[in-house]
Amino acid sequence: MLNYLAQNEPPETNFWSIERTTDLLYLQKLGLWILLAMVVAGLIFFLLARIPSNFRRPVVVGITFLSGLVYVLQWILPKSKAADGSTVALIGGWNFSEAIPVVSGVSQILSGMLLAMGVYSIFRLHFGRVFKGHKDAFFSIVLLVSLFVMVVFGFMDNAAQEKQKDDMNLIARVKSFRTRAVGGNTPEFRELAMQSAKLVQWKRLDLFQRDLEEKIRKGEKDPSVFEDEMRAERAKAEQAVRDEQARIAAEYQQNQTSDETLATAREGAQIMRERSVGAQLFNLVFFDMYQPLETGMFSLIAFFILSAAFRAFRIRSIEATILMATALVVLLSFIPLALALTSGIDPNSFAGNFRLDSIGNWLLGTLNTSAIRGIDLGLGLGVLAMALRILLGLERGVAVD
Amino acid sequence: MSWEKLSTLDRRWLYLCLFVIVLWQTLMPVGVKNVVSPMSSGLFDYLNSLKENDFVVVQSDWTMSTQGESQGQFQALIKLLVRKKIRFVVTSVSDAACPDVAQANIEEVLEKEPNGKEFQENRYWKVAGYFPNAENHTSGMVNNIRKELAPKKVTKLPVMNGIDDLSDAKAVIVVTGTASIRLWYERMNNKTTLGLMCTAVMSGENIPYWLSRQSVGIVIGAKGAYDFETELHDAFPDPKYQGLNYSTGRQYMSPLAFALFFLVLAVVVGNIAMSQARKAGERQ
Amino acid sequence: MMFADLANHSIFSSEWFHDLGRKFSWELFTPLGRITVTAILTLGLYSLLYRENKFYRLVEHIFVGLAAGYSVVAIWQEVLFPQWWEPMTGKPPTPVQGMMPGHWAWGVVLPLCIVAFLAFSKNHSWMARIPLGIIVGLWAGQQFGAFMNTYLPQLTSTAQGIIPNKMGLSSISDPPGTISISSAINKLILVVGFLLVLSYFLYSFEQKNKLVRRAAQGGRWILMIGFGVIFGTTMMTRFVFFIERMHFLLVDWLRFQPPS
Repeated sequence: MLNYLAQNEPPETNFWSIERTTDLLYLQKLGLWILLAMVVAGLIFFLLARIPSNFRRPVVVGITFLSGLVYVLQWILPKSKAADGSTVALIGGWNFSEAIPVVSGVSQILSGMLLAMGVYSIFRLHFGRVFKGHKDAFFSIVLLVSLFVMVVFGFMDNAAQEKQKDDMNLIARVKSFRTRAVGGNTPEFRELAMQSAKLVQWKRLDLFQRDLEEKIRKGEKDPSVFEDEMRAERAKAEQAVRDEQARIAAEYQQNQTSDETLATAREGAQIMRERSVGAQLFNLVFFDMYQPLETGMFSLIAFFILSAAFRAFRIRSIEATILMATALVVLLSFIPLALALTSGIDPNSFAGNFRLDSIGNWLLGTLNTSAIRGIDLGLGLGVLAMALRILLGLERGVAVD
Repeated sequence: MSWEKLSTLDRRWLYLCLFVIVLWQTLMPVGVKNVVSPMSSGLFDYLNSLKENDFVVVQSDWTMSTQGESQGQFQALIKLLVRKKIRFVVTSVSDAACPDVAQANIEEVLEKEPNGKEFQENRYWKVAGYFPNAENHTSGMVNNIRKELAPKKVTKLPVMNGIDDLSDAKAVIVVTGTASIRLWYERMNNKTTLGLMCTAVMSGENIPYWLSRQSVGIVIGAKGAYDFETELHDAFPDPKYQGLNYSTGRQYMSPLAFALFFLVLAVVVGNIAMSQARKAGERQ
Repeated sequence: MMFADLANHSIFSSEWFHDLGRKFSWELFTPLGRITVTAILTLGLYSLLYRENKFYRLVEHIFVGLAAGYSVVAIWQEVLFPQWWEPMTGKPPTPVQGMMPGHWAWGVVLPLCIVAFLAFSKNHSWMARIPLGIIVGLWAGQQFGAFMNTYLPQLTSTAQGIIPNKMGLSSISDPPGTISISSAINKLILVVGFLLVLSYFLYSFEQKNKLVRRAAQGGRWILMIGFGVIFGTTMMTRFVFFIERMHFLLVDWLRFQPPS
C-alpha cells in the first residue's frame, strides 16, 4: 500500500488509486472512498478515546515507538543499489525506502497542523479579549484584522497564480497543436491573446511614464515636454494594440498561431498575475509590511546588546578577559578597514602569521573548533540519549506523564 | 563629566550615537580594499570551476529577516550561476516565505545580468518551493531526489534533465539564516559537494565542518558577501559586467566597521568608567 | 482615458472568489507609497528605543497578526494542498498533462489532525499525544543515523593530521594532503583543546583528581574562546540588520544617493 501512496504519477488506477474525472462525478467513487477512509479512521479514534485510562500510555508509547522504527529500519537495513541508481533498503524483495516519502508526507502534514494549532491559540486569546472588553481590546482588534487581511489576500494571490498556470497550459496546448500542423487556435486562446496585446502595451507605456518622470525629477528633461511625449507615446501604444489585435484576429481566421502571438500571450498571462488585485494586495501586506517588520524586530536587538555591552561587560576574571579578547579579534578580523592595517604583510612569510585575518582564522579554526566540537559532542550524546528515551517511552511529556 | 556619571549614562545616548554613526557611514562611506577569506574563495573557486549546464541544488533558507547578510550572498551566488550558465533548483525548509523571497531575488538579478534573458525559468532554474519538515526533506533528497521533488512538479522540467540522483548534482549550496545546514552534514553520505552561505552568527559552529572538508567553503555574513562580490569582480573583468559585481556586501561594510568600532569603544569606556568610579568610591 | 475599459474589472466584483485571480487593475499602490508604508512601520518599531509607546504597540500587534495570518496561508498552500489534498483527490486530465488518480487512503490523515486539536479539550487532551508521538517518534528515529553521520567524520577529522609528512612550514604551493609541521602543531592544539573541553564536561560530576581539575580549568578557558567567537559574530549579524534598515530608510525612502 505504501508503494502506491508514494507514487505520484502512477500509470494506471487500481484499488488504492481511483480515477479523477473533470467534473464533480468523481465524488461518486473517489469521494466515497475518501469519506470511508476518514470515517474508519475517525471511528478508531472515537473508540480509542473510550479506552480505560491505564491503556492510554501503552497506546501513545507504542505509536511513538513504531514511528521511530521506520527511520531506524531505514538506517540499519542492508542497502543495495536500485535500478535507477539510488540507494535503497530492502526487506525481502520489498523496497523499504519507498515508504520514506509517505512517512515524510504524513509528518509534514502533522507538523503543519501543529503550526495551525499555534495560530488557533493566538486567535482564541485575542478573540476572548475583544469580547471580554479587555483594556487592550483595541490592539486585539488590530491583530485580528491583520490576521484576516493576510489570509484573504494570501488566497487571492494564490488564485491569481493558479489562473496564470491555467493560461500557461492553454498556451502550451495551442503551441503543441500548431506544431502538428492541425491548427488548434481556440476562442479562449484568441481572447487571451487579444487581452494580452493590450496589457503588454499598457505595461510598456507605464514603464515609459515612470522613466520620463524620473528623468524630469533628475532635471534631465524639462517638465513641459511631459504632456506631449506622453500623448505621442500613448498614440503609438494604441496603434500597436490595434495592429497586434488585427494580426491575432487574422491568425484566428486562418487557424494559425505565430511565435509573436504566443510570446504576447505568455507575457500577458504574467502581467495579469502580477497586476491582479490579489497579487498587489498580497505584496503590500507581505513584502511591504510583514517582512520589513520581521527584519526590524531582529535589528532592535543590536541596540539592546550595545547597551548591555556598555553596562555589563566587565573584565573581572580571566574568563571574562579571554571572552572579550576573542570577541575583539573576531570582530576586527571581519572588518576590511581593520584588515587593511596588516594587509601589507606578505601572507607567505613567517610574519604573515600575525596578519589580523590569519590570527582570526586561526582562532576560529583551532581553539574555537575545539570548543564547538566539545560542546557539539556533548549535545549530540544528550540528543541520542533523549531519542532513546522517547522511543522507549521513558521521556516525560511525550508519553502520558 | 565625572566617570561616575558616565557609568550611569542613559542608554538612549548610546542609541543616538549608533544612529548617527550608521547614518554618517551610509551616506559617506569610506571604501577600503578587501582581503578575501580562504573560506569564501573555497566555495567561489569550486563553483567557478563547474561547466556550462552543470546542475546544483540551492537551498535558500532566508527571508527578509536576515536579508542584510543573506541577500548580498544569495544575489552574488545567483550572479555567478547565471554567468556560468549552471542549472539550479531552489528548495527551502526553514520558512514558508523563503521561496517567494528567492524568486523575487533571482528575478531581480536576471533583470540586470547581460545574459539574464537567455537564462530562462524552467530551462535553467526553478524555485521548487517549501518543504516544512526539514529532516525528512533532507533525507528524501539524499535517498531519492526525483521522488522528493515530484510533488512540486519540477521533475518533468528541462532544468532537471538527467538528474536522477543527488550525486548527479555538482553541489548543494545552502544559503541560510538558520541551522538547517546541519542536516546536510548529517545526511549527505558523500553524495555531492556541500557549500554554505550563512549569517555571521552561524559561522562559529560551521567552521569545524569546513576544516574537516565536509563543506567546500563557507561564506560568512556581510563580509562573506563582500568577498564573493570581490571575487566576481576579479573573475569577470568583461566591461559588460561593469557595475554589476558589487552590491549590498560592499555597501554595508563601511557602516558595519564603524558601528563595531563604536561597540568596542563602548566596552572599553564602560570598563574604565567602572574602575574609575570604584576608585573614587574607595577614596571617599 | 484609455484605461477606462478597465473599469468593468471592479475590485468589488460579485463573481466567485476564485475569479478574483483574473481580475486585474493597473497599479493600486505607487512604489513610493509602498515604501512609505514600510518606512512608517519601521519608524514605529524604532520608537521603542526612546520609550514604550502606543505607536510601537500598534505596530507590534499588526506584525503578530500578519505573521499568524501568513502561517495559515502557507500551511494550506505549501503543505496541506500539495502534500495531502492533491494526492488524495487527484487531478483531472488537462490537455498537457494526463489524469492523476486520487489516493483515497490519505483520508485517514484528517481525523489524525483533528485529534491534535483535542489538546484544547479538558477530557480528551491525552489524545493529542498520538499525533505528537508520531512526530516526535519520527524525529527520534532519525537521530541514530544522524549521530553516526555527524560525529564520526568529526571525530576522525579531529584525530587526523597530527603526524606531519613534510618538514617545514606550510605554504600555498603545497599539494593537497600535505601536512607540514606547522599545520600538525595546529592540529595538535585542536586535539588537546578538544580533550580539555571534554574534561570540563566531566567536571560536572565532582572530580577529586588534581590533573583532571587543572584540565577542566583549561577547558573552561577554551570554552570562553568559543563563547567569545559566538558573541562577536552575533554582534556583527545584528548590526548588519540595523544597517540594512537604515539603508532602506535613507536610500530607498528618502532617496539619498551615497557615492558607490
